[in-house]
Amino acid sequence: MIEVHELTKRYGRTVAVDGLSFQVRPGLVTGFLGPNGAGKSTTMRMILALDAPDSGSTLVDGRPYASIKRPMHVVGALLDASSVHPGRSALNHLRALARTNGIGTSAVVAAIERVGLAGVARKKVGGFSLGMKQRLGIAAALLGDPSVLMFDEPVNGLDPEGVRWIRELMRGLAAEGRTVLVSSHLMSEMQLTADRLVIIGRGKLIEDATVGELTDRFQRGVFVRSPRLDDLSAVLTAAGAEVAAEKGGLSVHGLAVPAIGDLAAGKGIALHEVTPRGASLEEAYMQLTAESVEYRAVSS
Amino acid sequence: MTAVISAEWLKLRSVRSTHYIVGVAVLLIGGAALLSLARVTAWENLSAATRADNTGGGTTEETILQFMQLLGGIVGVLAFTSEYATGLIRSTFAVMPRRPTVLIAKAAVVAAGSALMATVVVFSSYGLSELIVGDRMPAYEPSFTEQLPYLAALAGSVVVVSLLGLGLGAVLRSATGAIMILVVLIFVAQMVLLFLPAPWKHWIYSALPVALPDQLTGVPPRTAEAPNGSAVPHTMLSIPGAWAFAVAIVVASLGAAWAAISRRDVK
Repeated sequence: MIEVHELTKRYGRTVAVDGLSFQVRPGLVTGFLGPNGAGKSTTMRMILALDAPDSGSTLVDGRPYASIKRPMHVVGALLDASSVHPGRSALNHLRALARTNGIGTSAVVAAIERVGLAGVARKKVGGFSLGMKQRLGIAAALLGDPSVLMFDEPVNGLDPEGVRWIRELMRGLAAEGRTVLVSSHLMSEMQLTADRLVIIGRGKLIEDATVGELTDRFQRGVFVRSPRLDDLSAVLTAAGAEVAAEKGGLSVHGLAVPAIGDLAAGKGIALHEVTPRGASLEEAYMQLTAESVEYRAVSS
Repeated sequence: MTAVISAEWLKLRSVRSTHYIVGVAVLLIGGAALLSLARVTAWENLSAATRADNTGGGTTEETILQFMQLLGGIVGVLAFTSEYATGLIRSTFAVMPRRPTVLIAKAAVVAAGSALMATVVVFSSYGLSELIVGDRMPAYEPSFTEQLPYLAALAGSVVVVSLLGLGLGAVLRSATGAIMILVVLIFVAQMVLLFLPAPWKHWIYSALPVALPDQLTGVPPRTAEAPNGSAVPHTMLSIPGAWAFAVAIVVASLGAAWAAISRRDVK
């Protein structure tokens, strides 16, 4: 469980995080979404007590992170996979981290095997690809068998196989009852991975909902085709739907597919097509964050 | 705490820069031996009259002192700057949110490592010099027991400089800047001092790392005249004064590091 209360962080005159509050629950993968510069990484650093907030607070499993004696057993975090000394071997990098929290070499070896780096454990990290570094960072996060996991943009730079591996890993960790917070600026990725979404823009909370809720909210009606469009239109309108003619069919708002089907059947109207048209979450996300994108290319 | 110290020790010995520093330290021992050989050969080629007027100069260990101090200082500097440069510091502080613990562990490891290195270099240089020079030159006459406190002070001054380096690295977060400052303190400042008026130059000289071993062990000021007739800077501090000063350097350095790492965000 991660709790963020009224968190605010300023850098000079820029407000990076602005009165942000949300909770991350165990047993779910929570996607932490926002455009670049929205304050995702800053928030994660504040949860880990790396940055001090100007006001507000964060709790991990009910306590401030800085008060946890051996935090690797409570929280595992991957912030920036490139933040490793290039001259150190993967094994030594992990052993040094593990030792600080009293974690033995056998757990280190197990973590290395779990992320598939056993073959290169004694190689210098400087020669690793970004994907291998991501795996190394994930191994570090898993070392203490923590109940809370935080990943900052974990799929950046990964090949499709690596993306899929991380997705399954995160889903697996959540299924074990752990709290998983994963940030991304890509909705398409989160759509496949996350159960809940916390969307922020310019440091403010825009949306905190399940993936299903968002999909429903951005439902764009049902497209219906029938040989008796006028009759169908009258029936649906009478049932309270908004109906608009579209080429070859009707665009219906305010009624779900089963209701439309039942009404049509009741009047003996044949239906040739019934297609629910959800906006993709990607579009929903673009709409939600349109106001808060910090860096935007000028469109001609 | 022991867990964090053992982690820091593993970090120190698992990077190449440490291996290079150890390599240079070994070269320094060889250099000291060659230097002893060169000196004694030159001494024996002097006329008897010239030899009678001269002492033969200092021992070889003190000639290589400044190089040892720089090596120790670099070990200290890199303890923090290598982590800031690579971003590893984020992981370090994330897994150990009580940051002063990290500082103390790094200080312990840097002090122990540089003490080990300096002791090995100082004592093997002394041993080799004795072996090569023997009683062929007057300055080498002090016996081991007589010379022991001074040898220890040489190594001790390296530890002081290594902790100064640790503090500089933590505050500046840049190896280049911190090592520059060390080079100025260890090598350059001394030369500039020649041009300052007395007593300033003597007091400033007394505060430089190179003057520490003499002052810690009460070696009388080595007065000499520069070619232009002015006095070469010499030591001023008493033994207790020198000890207090050495402790003050360490306390100030670690205190500044403490303040720097506790207050700043780790981006």
